[in-house]
Amino acid sequence: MKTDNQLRSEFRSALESVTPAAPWLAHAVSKSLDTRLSTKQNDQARPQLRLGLNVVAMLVLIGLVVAVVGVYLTVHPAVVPAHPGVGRVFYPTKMVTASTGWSWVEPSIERRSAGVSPVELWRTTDGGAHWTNVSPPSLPDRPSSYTDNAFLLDATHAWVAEASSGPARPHVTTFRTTDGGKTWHEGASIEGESPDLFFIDPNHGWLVLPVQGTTSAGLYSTDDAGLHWNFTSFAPWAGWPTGNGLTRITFSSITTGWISGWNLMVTHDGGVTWHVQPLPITLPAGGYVSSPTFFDRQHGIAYCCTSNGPGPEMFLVTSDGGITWVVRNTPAEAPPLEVFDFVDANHGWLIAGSNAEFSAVHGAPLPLYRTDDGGLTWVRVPTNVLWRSPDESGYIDSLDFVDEKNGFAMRRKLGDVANPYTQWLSTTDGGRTWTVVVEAPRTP
Amino acid sequence: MAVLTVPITLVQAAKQGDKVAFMSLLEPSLEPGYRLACGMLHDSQAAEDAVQEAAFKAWRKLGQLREGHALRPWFLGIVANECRTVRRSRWWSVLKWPKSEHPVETSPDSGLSGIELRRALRRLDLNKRMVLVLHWYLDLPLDEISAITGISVHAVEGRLQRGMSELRRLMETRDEN
Repeated sequence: MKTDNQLRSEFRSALESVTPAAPWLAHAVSKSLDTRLSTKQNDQARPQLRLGLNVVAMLVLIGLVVAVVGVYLTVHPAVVPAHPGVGRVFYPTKMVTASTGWSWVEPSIERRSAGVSPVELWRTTDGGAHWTNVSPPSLPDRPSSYTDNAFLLDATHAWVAEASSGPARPHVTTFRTTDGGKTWHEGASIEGESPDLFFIDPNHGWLVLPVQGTTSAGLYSTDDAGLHWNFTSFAPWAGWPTGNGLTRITFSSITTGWISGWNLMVTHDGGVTWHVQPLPITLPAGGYVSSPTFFDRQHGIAYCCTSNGPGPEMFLVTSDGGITWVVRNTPAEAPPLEVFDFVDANHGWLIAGSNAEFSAVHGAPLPLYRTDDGGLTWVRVPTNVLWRSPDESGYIDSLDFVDEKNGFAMRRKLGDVANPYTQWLSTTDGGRTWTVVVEAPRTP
Repeated sequence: MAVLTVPITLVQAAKQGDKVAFMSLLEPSLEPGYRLACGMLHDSQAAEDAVQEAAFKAWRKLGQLREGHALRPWFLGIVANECRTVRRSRWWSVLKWPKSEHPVETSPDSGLSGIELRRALRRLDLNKRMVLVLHWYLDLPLDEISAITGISVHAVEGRLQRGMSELRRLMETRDEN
């Protein structure tokens, strides 16, 4: 099998060979632009018949628009004006209760290119209508927002790992808050980069620092909430070419933990040793298992992709602490599935075909499904929203339920990259009725 | 590649109809746009068409570009949409545009190199192909790809992984056959 680097190199040379040099391109574009503009002006010079047709077309169009807007307004709720705090990208967001939650907010590209780059942590206490920046102090020389990581345990406890290039070697420093971001405590600094964090309770946590250029990572643990970190082992860390990948670490107890990726690795001694977890399915090349979510020590669920296109995607469920896993299928019409959320071992939601491919192919509202038996059966939930933006297509970026009734979703417009917007919606009846909490363009 | 922020004065001039200012703004993004189109379409003539059409649309839509925003991701987004259109209605492109007046400089065996990979790449759906080309061929960072494609960085990551896996599988299948 080719390595990622080999494949990437082959990819580049394969496309280079169909990309001949085009030194004339700017001139050709300029000339084409002149031609098109002059043609347009000529068209504008014979307006009589065209004007008449345009008036008729305009009247028809106005009639259509009025009808569509009327239908839309009867279906959609009123939009609350955007708060400045949501004028950027939510990623990822964790709502802890129906009112309180966190948002890990990327700065805009423009701010990053201007050197104002730290990723920020925001918090809401009113269901997302208003947000407050509760970021910890920012270390100097933070190379990129993507090198930071946050772990949001509950309504008040959170950790942020900041990577800093520093004057010498890159290092990572953790910050902890126990009061919702009002105050932060700086923990030890460790040499490394690209951190991944996980905490099982307010005191016990793990910090992963991938060893660059290898498939392992330094694993550190803490029992004092991140003030000090102890080296535990070099853990298997398949990573992913971007370095930001799907390999993640989770723990279901102080001793039992999981590393996801091309397969599922398990530890039963707090991360000192790692083994491959047997699964009920065989993962082909390219298949992967997501980081499992545990609702208690026994019950957990992981998303599993066994093919690379719109093929079988499923959940793996355990009720014995991860010793055995069983397959739970997704609805038949679901592929490709990307957005889902479970609040406990039984209750979960998914939006089938939530990405653009499905919208383009099916051209229909995306169906919301719910399970009350841990994924054994899925029932379609009738909702009052199209899971696409009203004009053409949209993207559901997250589905975040906090209990059986209360949930949130983020919808992003697709296509118009100059003015994309986000919509933050909430439901209080298990997904049947959704209300737009805030709506905002993506601006700095 | 660094993301360049557009100088405000040039944008203002271009928005007021100054074509020279517009071309000055656009020129640094033309080559990445052309590479993106070639990577998507595997046809330099169609790629040139796509870039020219995208440039015209960029001119018409320039009012949508907010001052201080980077032009490149905005323009590459238009090129990407144009590539979709070209693929959907290739006949239109062929009929609409005359043959290029420019000779295509290629080596004797160009096009043969990597033919299996390109064949596999063409079997990927457009969205996966696009993020692969943007990331692996144009070396763009994930955040810029996110801006171009209008999806989250997280989704870009997922799409990259799926695209790479599918590409690998398609190539391995061919190798086995």
